Amino acid sequence: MSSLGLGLAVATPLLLLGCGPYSEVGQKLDVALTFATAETFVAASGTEARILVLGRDAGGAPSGFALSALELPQAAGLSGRTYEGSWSESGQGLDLQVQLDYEMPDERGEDLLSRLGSTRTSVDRTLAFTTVRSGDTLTLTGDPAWAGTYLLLTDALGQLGSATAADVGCQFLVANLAVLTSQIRIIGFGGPGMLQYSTAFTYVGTLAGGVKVGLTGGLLSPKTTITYSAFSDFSGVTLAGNQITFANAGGNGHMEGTVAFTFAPTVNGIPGAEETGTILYGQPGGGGDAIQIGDGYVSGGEYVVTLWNGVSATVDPVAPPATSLAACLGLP
Amino acid sequence: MHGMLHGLLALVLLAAPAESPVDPAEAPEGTPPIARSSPASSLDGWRWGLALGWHGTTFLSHESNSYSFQSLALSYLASKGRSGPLLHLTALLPLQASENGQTVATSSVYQDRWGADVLLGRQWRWQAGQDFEAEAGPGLHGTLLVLPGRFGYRDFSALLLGVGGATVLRFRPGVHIAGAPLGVGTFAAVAFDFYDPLRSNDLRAGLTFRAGLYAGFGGR
Repeated sequence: MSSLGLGLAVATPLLLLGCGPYSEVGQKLDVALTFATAETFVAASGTEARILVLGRDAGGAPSGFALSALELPQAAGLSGRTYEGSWSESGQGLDLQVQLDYEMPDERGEDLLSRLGSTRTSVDRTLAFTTVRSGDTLTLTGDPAWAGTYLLLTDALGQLGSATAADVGCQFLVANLAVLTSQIRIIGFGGPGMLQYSTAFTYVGTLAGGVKVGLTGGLLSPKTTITYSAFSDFSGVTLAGNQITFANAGGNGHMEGTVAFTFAPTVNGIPGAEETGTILYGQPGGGGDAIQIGDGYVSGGEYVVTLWNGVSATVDPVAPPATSLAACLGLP
Repeated sequence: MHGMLHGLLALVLLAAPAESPVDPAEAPEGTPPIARSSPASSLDGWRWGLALGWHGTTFLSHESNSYSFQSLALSYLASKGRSGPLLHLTALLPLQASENGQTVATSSVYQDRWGADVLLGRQWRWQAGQDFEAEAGPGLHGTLLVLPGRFGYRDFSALLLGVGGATVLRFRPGVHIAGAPLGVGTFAAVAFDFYDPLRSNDLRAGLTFRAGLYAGFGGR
């Protein structure tokens, strides 16, 4: 899970009315684009991971894109932004017509009840790039915020090892990218707007499955459950399982639950053997090294990550990643 | 219900100066005495009734988003004396909402929507002829809007607090019901809102209007 704890979302006596800034009038919770197939590219710049999903409909025509920037100064992740819209490519030109702007801000300095959490706004702008495709790389030239050399994610997944603790840490980083892209799209995530989900709601995955968000429990012991069901926001990574967050009125608490991840790597586009693993957020009751939530953010504990072959290691959520995402995936 | 409301008004009365026609014996020199039996005493006493009308509120957030809500309003209006407390309690049914010019029918995106409006203050009452009277005065104001989203839509709520004022114009047609004199008329209220504790004071400024038709009792 990202460092944005869910707990703060349920930490208010104004449960029935909500708080935080005004919400958008008549806003649909989920208007995500979905794609029949997609090419997913990944790049890294400093502590930022970038994911570009170029989606196509069942007939193979471009049907939409998602472009995400995820801040990873700590292993849990911290904030992020996703653009969605339509795209077109001709020759060496790639135009991304942005229609939706999702943002999960870093609000650690904000008062708990004043936080926005994840938001979505409608926009109308175009990101224009010059592209060079070479093998499994895509080089974008143009908007400096997004320019760079991207690698086909499914091919990059083939770079992941599974023998050492460092390998385990790398697999966590990649799986957590999918967790982060889902959280960016959950309206109100990380803010008091999570009170919305006292009526559970399911967001669809851009490529497959869905993620259900629900809030139960009383005013003083709220419990937020996020359930992934064959959820995939980009090629090659699928999530399934529960994240459960308990928090008090101060945004302090712990997490429980296990999310399983499945990687589907390719070699030059040819499917390889799937690899799986699990991320344990905490045992029931929150004992041991369960992920801790402080002031609404992940503040301690450990992720326990176990790979398909039994290799297991812990990941410190608030420390910088032991191995950078670029090194893990062999990114340029 | 009326007993409870009158109880609330009684609390307000404790804080309000009592009606004090000048006693001739205590009047400063040069002050014309007002007899307790003057015709103005017809302005004394309670007025209370129900009113049906429109409630509109428009406000700006600190992010410069503008919001407007139009609601059906059912109000209980009460006041006492030539100079005394006033209370307007209103139940709201939001009908239309808009943000930055984008308008939606609330029934299409919200369920079980409701609201409330309160104006509590002080009023002064005047008479015109035998059958007409008017009252007006300022007060503290609050509007609460609660709009839980239909499935798949986001909730909306607001609590707008500020100051305002109201006026009521009454006509007494000479009809009595169960011995009580009937009054009919119109009312209007306006408020300037500047604080929203529910929304982390995301409110920059807002204006609320309310107007409609009144029917009630009181007077001679």
